[in-house]
Formats: sequence, structure tokens, C-alpha cells
Amino acid sequence: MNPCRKAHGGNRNDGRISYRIKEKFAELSYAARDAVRPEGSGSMKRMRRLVICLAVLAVICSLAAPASLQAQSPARRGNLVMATRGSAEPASMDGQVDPYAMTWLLNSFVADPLVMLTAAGEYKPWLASGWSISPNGQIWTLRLRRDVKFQDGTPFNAEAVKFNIERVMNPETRSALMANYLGVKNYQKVEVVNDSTVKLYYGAPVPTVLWGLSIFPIWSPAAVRKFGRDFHQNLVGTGAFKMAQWVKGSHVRFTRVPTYSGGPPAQEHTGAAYLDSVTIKWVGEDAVLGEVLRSGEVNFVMELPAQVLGSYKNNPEFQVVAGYQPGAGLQFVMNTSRPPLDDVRVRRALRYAYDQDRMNQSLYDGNYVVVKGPVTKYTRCYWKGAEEAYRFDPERSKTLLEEAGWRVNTRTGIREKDGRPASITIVMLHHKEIGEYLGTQFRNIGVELRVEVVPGPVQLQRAAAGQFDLMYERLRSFEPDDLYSMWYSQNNFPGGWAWSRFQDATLDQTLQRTQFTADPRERCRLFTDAQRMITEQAVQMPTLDNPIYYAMHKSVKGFKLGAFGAWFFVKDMYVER
Amino acid sequence: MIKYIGQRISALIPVLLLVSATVFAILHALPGDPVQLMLAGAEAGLVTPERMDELRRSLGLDRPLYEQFTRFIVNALRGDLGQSIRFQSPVSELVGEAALHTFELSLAGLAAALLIGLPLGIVAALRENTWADTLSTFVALLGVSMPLFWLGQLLIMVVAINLRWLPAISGDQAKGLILPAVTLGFVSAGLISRLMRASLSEILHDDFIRTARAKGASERAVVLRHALRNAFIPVLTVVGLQFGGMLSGAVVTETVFSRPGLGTLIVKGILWHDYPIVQGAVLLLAASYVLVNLCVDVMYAWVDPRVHYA
Repeated sequence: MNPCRKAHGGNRNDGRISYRIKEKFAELSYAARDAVRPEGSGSMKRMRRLVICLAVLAVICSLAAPASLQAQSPARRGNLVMATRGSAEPASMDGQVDPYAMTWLLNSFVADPLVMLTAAGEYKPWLASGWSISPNGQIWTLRLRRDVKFQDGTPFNAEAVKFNIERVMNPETRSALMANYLGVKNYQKVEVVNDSTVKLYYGAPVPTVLWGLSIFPIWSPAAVRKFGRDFHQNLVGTGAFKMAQWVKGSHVRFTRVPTYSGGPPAQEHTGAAYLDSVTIKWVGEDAVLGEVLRSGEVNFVMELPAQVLGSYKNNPEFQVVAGYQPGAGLQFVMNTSRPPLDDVRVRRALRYAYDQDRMNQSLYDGNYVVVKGPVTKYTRCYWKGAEEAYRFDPERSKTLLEEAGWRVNTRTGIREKDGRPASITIVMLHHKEIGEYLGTQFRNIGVELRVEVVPGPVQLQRAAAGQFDLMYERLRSFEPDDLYSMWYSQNNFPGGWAWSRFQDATLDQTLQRTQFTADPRERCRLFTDAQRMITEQAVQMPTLDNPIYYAMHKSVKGFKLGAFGAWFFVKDMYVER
Repeated sequence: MIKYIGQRISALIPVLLLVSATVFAILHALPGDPVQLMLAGAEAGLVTPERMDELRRSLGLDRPLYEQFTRFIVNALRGDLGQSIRFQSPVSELVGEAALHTFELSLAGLAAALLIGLPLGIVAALRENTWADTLSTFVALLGVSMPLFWLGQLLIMVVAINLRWLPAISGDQAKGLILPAVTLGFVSAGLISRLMRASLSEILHDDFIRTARAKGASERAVVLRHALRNAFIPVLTVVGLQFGGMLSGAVVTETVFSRPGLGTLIVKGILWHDYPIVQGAVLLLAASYVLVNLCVDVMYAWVDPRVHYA
């Protein structure tokens, strides 16, 4: 063993190390001096030699210390200060309740999941050391690690998992989405087999269990009971960081748990996370969010506005990473229950009337992602056929409209049928420029588009009442089950997402089967079939999708994106000095 | 005086009742269902109509409006402003926490307004029709005409991003309060300076000032002891009103500088149809406004001995 390392107890601060060595040396010198006084000159010589030896040793130590320490634990520490959109701040920090990706991401700092979803999109064991599924797909057996404790010192075991599962399935918890991923509709019970094994029982196969388990935070039952309704402000899990402070509307801070013993596949290195702390600051204005990294107040930005990308991409001080997202993208569903979009020819005419590539170039300098089908190409079970389905062809649009009986009024330039003008309304929450762009394209084929930007509550009300022609609707999750939510016709009721009111028995049957099919290949086949049918019927208008842009100072190292754009791994990150 | 203060405080009750009723009516007239919003993100099949009804019942949203309102008032009198629908926390806690930040910002904004506005107005009155007066008028015009969000962003870009003197995001640092306070205070500073100039200029031409000068009082004593105190009375009224305005202006400033506070809380409450939050926060703002005006009235008596309250 390196004697120097032993002497300073593995302290990583070089300045402090040399100070401690000097201190130690001074102590020994005083000891030597005190020892010399009562002795004679012979002793004095011996002591002088001792002092010289110690001095030489100290010099060697001080020279060798930085290198040896670097080998043991490099300067991989620091504080990550991240800024992101203020609107992304969770209302509740408890991911078992709150249904947003940001909450689950922040929970992943504090609580390890049972199953890891790796960057490559594979499910790997983590707190659950393994799992098996019964032949009928209705019983999941989870084997648990035995060497894990919660941050409050209580043991992680089968009882803790049972407590968490039962908590999320309890309607009083008001879990908005997690319970659904874990199959609440078919859930029967959770059973503790022994201290390290639990069984989940369902009435039918639940294909989204692994996805649910990969984002499901396992909380300390003792802490949940202790804090009650304030638990979401005092999260206690098994993870690499503790929740230290949450000032609502301002920031949330997590601090490192030094005793954390992580390893692959959750992180690349073994042991505690590198960062001392992670602070997330909520920024209300996009203009400020776009500049705050340059001012040095933060060293990391999530969701950098696309408008300022250029200034960061060309600056060697910063690094920009794009996180592409699965799900529907910025799409508009068509209301098929009222004219003119109840006619498939009109719907198809609209699809041929615009070009997403040109839209992307003119509006966002090509920084967005072109989406041509019901889901983005980063979604599992993506159907590539959608890319060829509606190539930009305004002449074909005009022909289809003529066939549908919509004739141009030469005075207004807008088509009419039975005295009614071809005028439709697009309802959106944001990205108004997309609506305006579509408006100019539709005008070319004789269709008038009125753009309405409304707040979320109004959107939900209009969707429920069917008061729209085109409605912005974007759901995002790693698995393609959003297709079931949006296009299974029975999901058209308050709280449901089937807003287009489109009904097709074959599509319904296909989507319903996805929810009871455990075989991943068969599920994918069903989902691609569904995408084909949705595309053929032209019941939605895909446009673009905005990637999540991460920008960081060059000193921030170890950043790794997750399997989807809104996720990243923090435990290997550090800030280089 | 005590009787007067008592009367004014008792007058708070009908004001607050009226404010609560108005906010309650407006919020319920807005489209959107809070239960639907609460479960936004929950997939179809899980959010059955039965489940939504159950949640609506548990939140008391199934009761008639008058009953919901009465329950809110009765509970508010007990100090219970209810439970936030979205945050699932007591409203009094959320509003209390946010109010501290807003009052801190408003007080700092008022201080900035006075520090900028009063000297400008005084200098303009003392140096009437000189370049100093013109400069003061120009600054006052800038203050009155510049939108808060624009000024805030301008200060962020220049002071925080380019010069790096102060933080752009307020956070929990004390120096993070400077830019928001200047932004908020600058608008009022314009008004205060104009009023101070007019008031002081008028008083400086009054007979009692001439008498003071004739008695040999120094110009410094004339201005500081006699003119300023009298000139400050109309300014005081405006300062009180401006403080009330700052409480509401803080909404924009809080957003631009990413600060927590009542403004951002109310915006979230409105967007999420979180009725209890909006009601609680507006109630607090209304009470604060009335109390600030009461303080101003009381201060009149202190500044001007001629004012008496029976």
C-alpha cells in the first residue's frame, strides 16, 4: 500500500492533503524536538536523522499523492447545476402519483428501479435480480437483491415491494399513469413468497409491466408512513442521491449518498455517484433558458430552445446533444365525426397538401424531426411504410377534393360544397407557427385553416365536446401503447384520449389484442398493422417533433442519454475541474 | 385612531367576501374540469367515468356551487383554505410559502422605486427646467412606458448574461433579488419621481416656504425640514397604491426571473383549475392590498399632524 495514501486517509483534495502532510510532519518534528532535549548529543544526531528521513518521506508523499489519488478516485466530483423549463416542474415529486417524465427522471436520482431500461432500450435486472413470467403471462415472479437498504437505513425486501405496488394500485393514491403501466385494470394481488421474492398476479397479460417497473420508484415504506402527504417533498429511496431541498417554483437539489453501491448496468463505474450534488433550476422564460448557460450560472441545460442551438453548436465551450423522443410527435388528430373531415377523401387531400421536410427547414432550420406516421421513428414497433404514404402532391389534393364535391369559388379562392366553405379549425396549445404554415399550404388547395391557440383546460374541453376539426394531441411513452390510447374507439369518453371519434372494427380489434398479447414480436406486428390502418384512413396529421436538446459546458463529462429523449443517466456524470 | 383602525379592519370582511365570490364565480365559469386535468396523462381504460365521479366526490366538486362556496368561507374563517387539487397539499401552506417570496420581492421593488424615484423627483423640482429636470422626465417616461417583461429580459441580457454582474435566475441568493426588484421598481419609480417633482415644486412656491426663507433658514433646512415633509403626503398615497400594484406586477417579474411566488402559483392554479389555490392566493392578495392602504392612511396622521381620525 502506498504509505502516503494511508497517511492522509484517502482525502481527495490536493491542497488539503499537502496541508495535512505538513501538519503531520510538524507534529513529528515537535515530538522529535521534545524527545531530543532530555537526551544527549548522540540522541540529537539520531533525531536529526529521523527528522531528515521524515522530511524526505514527506516530500516523496507530496509528489506522489496527486497521482496515486487520481488513480483511486479521480477529480470526478463537482456540482451539476441544470436549468430547464419552469413548466416542467412537477406538482408532486412522487412519480407513483405524478404522470410526467420529468418526475420519473428526478425520481431515478433518488430511487433505483426494479428493472433498468438501458440506453440501448433493453430491460436489465437491477433491484430485481431477475424475473420470470408464467406461461399464460398472468403471473410475474420478481427475485430481489438482498444487499440493498433504503436511505433511511430500513431494508429493501419483498415487503417493501409489496407495499409500493399496493400503494400505487390503491385508488386513494390517485396515481394518474403509473398504475396503468403496471396493469391496474387486470391487477389482482401482490404476494410475498419470501424475503426476496414477490409475485404479481393479473387477470390477463399486461405487456407494459417491464416498462412500468423501469420507471417505478420504490420508496421506503417507513418514510412514506412517516411523512404521509408530505412524502413527495421528502423522498426516500435506495438511489445514489438524496432529496435535499425543494423550493417550489425555484429549484430542487439532490445530494450524493456516499455509501451508495451502484454498478453496471445502472452506471458504468462501481460505487457512489461522482457528483456531489445535482440542482435543477426552473426557468420561466425560454429567452432566459437559451442564454443562462452562457452566463455561467448553470453548467447544463435540458430542453434548450431550438432557436439558440446554432450559437451553442458552433461554440467549443459547449456541447449539444439531441434526445429524440418516441410517441406521437406534434400531430393533429382529425375529427371524423363532422364534415368535412368525415370524408376520407378530404382527409387524404390534406395529407398530400404539405411537406414536413420543407416545414422543418423553413420554421426550425431543420432542427426538428420529421414525422410521417402516427408515431415517430424512435418509437418501438415503428412502421416505416408511413414514410412513403403521402408524398407532397398538391395536385392530387385538388383532385381528391374535386372528387369529394368541393369546388373552388373563384371569387374567394376557397372551395365550397352545398354552399358551405371548406373552412376548418386547428386547435393547438403551442407551436402556432406550424398551424400558420399549414394554413398557407391548405390555402393553395382551396381550404381555409383557422388557427386557435388555447390553454390546456380549454383543449381538453374542446376535445371532449368534439368542437374542433384538427386537434393537437401528443402522448409520449417508450412503448407504443399510446396508439391504443389514442385510436381504440372505446377510449372516447371524458379522460380518454380517442379524440378523433374514428371507429373501425378491424383497427379496434387489432389494438385491443395488443393489450392482451405478451409475445413482443406479435405485439409489434399488431402495432405496425394499426399504424398502417391509421395512415390509410388519414385520421391524423403528423408534422414534426421537437427533440430535447441538452447543452452543457465542456467541463461536464459522462453524460449519457437514456433509451428515449427525455431520459439521461446522472450517476456517471461529473464536472471536470 | 384605534377605533378608526378597528373600523377599517372590520370593513375588510365584506371586501374579502366580495373578492372570494367574484373569484369563485369566474373560476367556475371557465371551461375545463379539474378532475380531468388532474388525471391528464392517465390512459383511457383506467380513467373510467366512475373513477372520475369518485374523485370529484372526494374533492367536494360534486356539491352545488353555493355549498362549495359556503364551505370555503367557513373553513377560511377557521384558517383552513382547503386542499390543493393538483398539489395535494394544504393551500395555506402553499400560499404562505409563496407569499413570503412575493412580499420579499414587492418590498424590494418598493425600496428600488423609492431609491430611484424620490431622488429623481427631488432633483427635478430643485433644478426646474434644467438638464437635470429633462433627464428626470426622460427616465420617468421610460419607467412608465416600458413593459415589465421587456425591461426584465433586457436587464437579464445586459447585466446577467453579457456583463455577468448578477444572476439571471434568482434562486435563493440575496443578490438574485436585485434585478427583479429594479425591474419591478422602475415602473413605479417613474410615477413617484413625477409626483414628487410636481408636489415639491408646488410647495417650494408656497407662502410658508417664503416665510421660512425670510426668517433666515438655510436652503437645506427649508427643503429637508419644511418642503419635503409636506411634499411627501401625496406621494405616500401613490406609494401605497404602487405597493398593491407590485403585488400583482410580481406575477410577470416572477416568471421572467424564475422566482417562486404568489403570481406563479396563481398562474399554475388557473391553468390546472386548482380552485382552492386561486381563491386562497387572491384572498391573501386582496387582504394585503386593503391592509397596505390602511397603513398608508395611518401614516398620513404621522406625516401630517393636521390629519386626525375620529
